Amino acid sequence: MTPIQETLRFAPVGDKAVTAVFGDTIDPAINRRIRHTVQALQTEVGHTIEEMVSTYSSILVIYDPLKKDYDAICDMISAASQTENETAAADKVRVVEIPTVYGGEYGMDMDFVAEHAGLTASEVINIHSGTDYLVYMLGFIPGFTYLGGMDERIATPRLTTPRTLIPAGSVGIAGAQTGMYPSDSPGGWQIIGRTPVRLYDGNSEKPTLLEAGDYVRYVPVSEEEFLDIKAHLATYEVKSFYCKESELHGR
Amino acid sequence: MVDNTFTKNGAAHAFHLIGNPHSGVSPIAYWQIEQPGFFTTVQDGGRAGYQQYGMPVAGAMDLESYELGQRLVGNPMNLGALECTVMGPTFTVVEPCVVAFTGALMGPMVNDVPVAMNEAIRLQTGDVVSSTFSTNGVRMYIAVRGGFNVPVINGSVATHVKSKLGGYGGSRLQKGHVLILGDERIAATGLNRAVLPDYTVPLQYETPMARRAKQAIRIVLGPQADRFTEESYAIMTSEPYEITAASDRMGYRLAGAKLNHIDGADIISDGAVFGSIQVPADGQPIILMVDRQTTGGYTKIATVITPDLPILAQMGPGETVKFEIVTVAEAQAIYKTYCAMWR
Repeated sequence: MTPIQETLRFAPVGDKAVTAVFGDTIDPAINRRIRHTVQALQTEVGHTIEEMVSTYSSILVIYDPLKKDYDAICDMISAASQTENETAAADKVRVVEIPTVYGGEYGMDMDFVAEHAGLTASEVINIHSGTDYLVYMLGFIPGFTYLGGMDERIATPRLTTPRTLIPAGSVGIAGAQTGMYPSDSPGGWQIIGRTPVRLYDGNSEKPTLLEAGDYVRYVPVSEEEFLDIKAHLATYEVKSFYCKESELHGR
Repeated sequence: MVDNTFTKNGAAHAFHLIGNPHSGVSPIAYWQIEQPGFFTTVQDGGRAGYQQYGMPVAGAMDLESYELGQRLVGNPMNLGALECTVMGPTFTVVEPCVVAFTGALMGPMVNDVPVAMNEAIRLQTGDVVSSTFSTNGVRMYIAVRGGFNVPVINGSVATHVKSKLGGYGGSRLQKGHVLILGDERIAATGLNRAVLPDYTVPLQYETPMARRAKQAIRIVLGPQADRFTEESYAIMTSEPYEITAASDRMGYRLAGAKLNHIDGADIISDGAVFGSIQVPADGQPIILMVDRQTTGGYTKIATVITPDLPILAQMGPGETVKFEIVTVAEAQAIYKTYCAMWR
């Protein structure tokens, strides 16, 4: 048994859900294990499983207790967590490129972040766009991604007073985290840029651009490019590709 | 076959169609909202299956009364109903339809004459539907055969007011709103608006309000019960907790004896369900309800069992909750009996 399997534990969440806990830290290896387990359980969705919500270090599994009881569902998840996906594709991760205009009116807190870090704005941009970020989970508001892996050098505390309106697409920093707002929202993050791409669309069957387990790569663009993409959003295709984890930026 | 420019906004859709309601070949059935009531929204079974994208579930708070209403009017479960809080709306009916009032006792009336709850009722053009303040319970559901012509977003018509999504333009009903009934869906599901379905409520059925007088709210410990002192379980089941005024469709904030953490109230954020009881550092429990966020970062001591959620949903600020702990095996046995009882 691997160390992760030894630490897998279960706790009931009422009569029709269970949380499977894979660890007690925020760790890409734990998150990878979660991803593989969710994939292995996918065939059960619509049968014994109603839905799954993966988070940093656990999976919430909502199931039908008329079909399987608590012990049986735990056994099923346990078995799924041990299936090794041995295809080559399983080693690869999806990278999604997010074109981003940094600073100026789109990133009104860039100067503050740079000053706080003791860096120039272009150094902040290089650091921020030079690392690929793992999407650990989605939550808070539809399509909001919790990203991991930001360089500590650009960590900045939240605003002391949150803004009442942050425009959709805004890219920000809060402490050691980075992320973006999928829709207009109040918020206290330090805003350093904005992406023109649509991160959330409620009318779509897959309503968010990103899923847990994807990697986000911010690609700096000029204001002109930003406006051009925004003007042609209906036909703009967000670039994404698969690569090995060792090929990710900022490893 | 719905034009996308209108599906985002139920209101735009409705006003577009209502420009000239009697000009076309097929009459449009609708309800003209004269008074919106206290807080009235379109709700259904909720936006299940999209929590992995951070989408809140929303839907009816008292899913049992909601489902009963849908059965009474002969609808599939996802067509939606009006969820009326404390006091229902007043509206004028245009074109015949079949409705049912379920849930809280708000004394529904048609043309000022009281009508029965938990029964299918036929309404005619010109009928005025109204109600009074609730005398028992908090939420009444008005189901209509064929549902409403509002956009289906991720498989659901449920309104989530905080994200301005679903239902009638993502909002609560307002005076002057025109709620178009679901012609397309009647066609799609083969329903006939004028025919009364033959479903009746089982004799042994007890409403959530009736059950409330007899029992405590049952909970299953976990997922983070081990983060609390053992004494906390005893406190939680022996002391009463009051539902405070800061309670809504997102969560019920309770006030009562403090529950004590062993080592802080924060966890690495994980998933939460309808009925999750989270306890922040102040030791006062919050029961997460249908409009909750999908994930949370506070310890959750226990979860309310499914059959008791309708009871809780029919309780409001100022009322007192008493808890009783059951095992997960007991909870699942109760759930089986519950499903068999009234379905």
